Amino acid sequence: MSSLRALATVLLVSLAGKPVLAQDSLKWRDSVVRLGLAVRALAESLRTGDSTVVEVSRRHGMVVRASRSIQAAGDLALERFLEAKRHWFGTALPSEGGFRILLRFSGEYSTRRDEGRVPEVLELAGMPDSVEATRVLRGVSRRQIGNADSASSVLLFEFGKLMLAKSSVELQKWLRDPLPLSLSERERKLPVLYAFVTGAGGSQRKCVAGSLMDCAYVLGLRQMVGADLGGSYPEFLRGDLLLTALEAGGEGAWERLRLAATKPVTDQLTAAAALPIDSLLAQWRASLLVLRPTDHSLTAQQAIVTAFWAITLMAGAIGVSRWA
Amino acid sequence: MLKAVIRIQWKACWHIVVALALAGMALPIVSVRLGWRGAANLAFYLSQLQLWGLFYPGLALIVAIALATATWASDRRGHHIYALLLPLPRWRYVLLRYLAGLALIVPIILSLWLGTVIATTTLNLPPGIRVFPHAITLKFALTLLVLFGFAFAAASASSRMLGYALRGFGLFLAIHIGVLLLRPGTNLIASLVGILITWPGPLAPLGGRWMLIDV
Repeated sequence: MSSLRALATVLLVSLAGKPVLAQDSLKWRDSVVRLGLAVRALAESLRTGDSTVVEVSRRHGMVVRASRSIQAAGDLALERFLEAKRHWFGTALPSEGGFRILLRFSGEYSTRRDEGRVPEVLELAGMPDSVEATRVLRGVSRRQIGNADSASSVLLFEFGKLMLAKSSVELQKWLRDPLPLSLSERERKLPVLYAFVTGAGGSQRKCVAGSLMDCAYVLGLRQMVGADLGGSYPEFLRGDLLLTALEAGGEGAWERLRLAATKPVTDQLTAAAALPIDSLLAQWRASLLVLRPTDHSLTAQQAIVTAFWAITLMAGAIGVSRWA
Repeated sequence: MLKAVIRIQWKACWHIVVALALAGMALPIVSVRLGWRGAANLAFYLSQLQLWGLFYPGLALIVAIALATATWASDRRGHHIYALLLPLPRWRYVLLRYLAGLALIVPIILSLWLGTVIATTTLNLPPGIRVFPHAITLKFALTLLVLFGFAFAAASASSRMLGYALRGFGLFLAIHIGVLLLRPGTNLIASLVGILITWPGPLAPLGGRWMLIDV
């Protein structure tokens, strides 16, 4: 009897205990996640809590910490980063809880002298910089981390990736590559111009000639059916189009893009640029074609300088000729 | 007097001028025709053409050295006796030689221009792709002008002056090596080349793209 009672008790407990076990496992999972976050926070605080890493600058809700050897570059990098961020993203941030981008240089090669060497660190954090917020850790070269321009470019590129990760899935699928924010405008536009003008497909040639409908097709913004349409442009042209939209839309462009996240990509771009899609495509096309080399690449000043050198060399020849 | 010097110089080196003029005419035609497979591979074609573009400054260098050397060849052979017999001041004689050299350069530039025009007009390019026959000829002419100036000065120089120049260059090399040993980040030769090939440096026309056909 007692064994029957015991069996009944075990059955009751096992049946009634299912939700309790489920609750416990959730608690376990939460505590493991919390523990993981705490360990990451501890590791980061140990890394950045190094005596050689100090706070360099704090502006507009962002703080830069850097190793002593690159403090000046860090300060300037924050200034450049904020300027570029305002240009592309306005006041938008990747997360309410802040963010952190940690750039580390641990040495190009290993020698005995490098052993035990503290890595150089440049860290950008957006307040409130909570442990749950998004963060990036990236190994960079000494040249990148020690120069304000290149450091701000890398920070902006990583920031762009964080921002893109929070955008709509449609936009991410359409774009495929990260935004080319680490490049200067000329570095970005010239390869795009060459890919744009040398495209061999039927629609690509029509887009170059000025057909905006074909431009929308070859950029993956609309569907078309036809035998002579050809393929679409390489994906990196799309990033340039999105940046053109952000530039056209001004400081609030990214916020508008984010608000239109549930709509198709065309509508998102239209919202960001605050322009109809045809106007945006026309603007993008014009921004590329304006970079084409001209027949008048030689200025009058350059011609005068060349003439000056020719006369100088001739005068030099008179001075050094054999009768002298 | 200039006419007489040009005539003498033409007689001495007409075969060089004709050969270089033919090379100048052939270069754009061959470069444009060789890689052309229609509009289907424009990107590859343009990158090929960019490599062909390196031959333009190369040709300018060959023309400059060949003509500058030929200009002073007769004087060097005759130990400058003919020049000394002329009732002319030295500067005027050098100037005449220089102008005569420039006059012989003109047919080479004209033939290159003709070659670029023939090359670009006989090609059926898709819309959006543009041709620059005049711009590339002008760039070639300016490059040639500067390179000829250098080559002419070197060819007219006495052995003593060339010796000074050589010693000066040797001294610069020694300083460069010394600086490199003391401060590895400082490269004097790279800095010097940078100054020479960027505006307003004398060799600036050599830089940039030498594209006869471009976007």
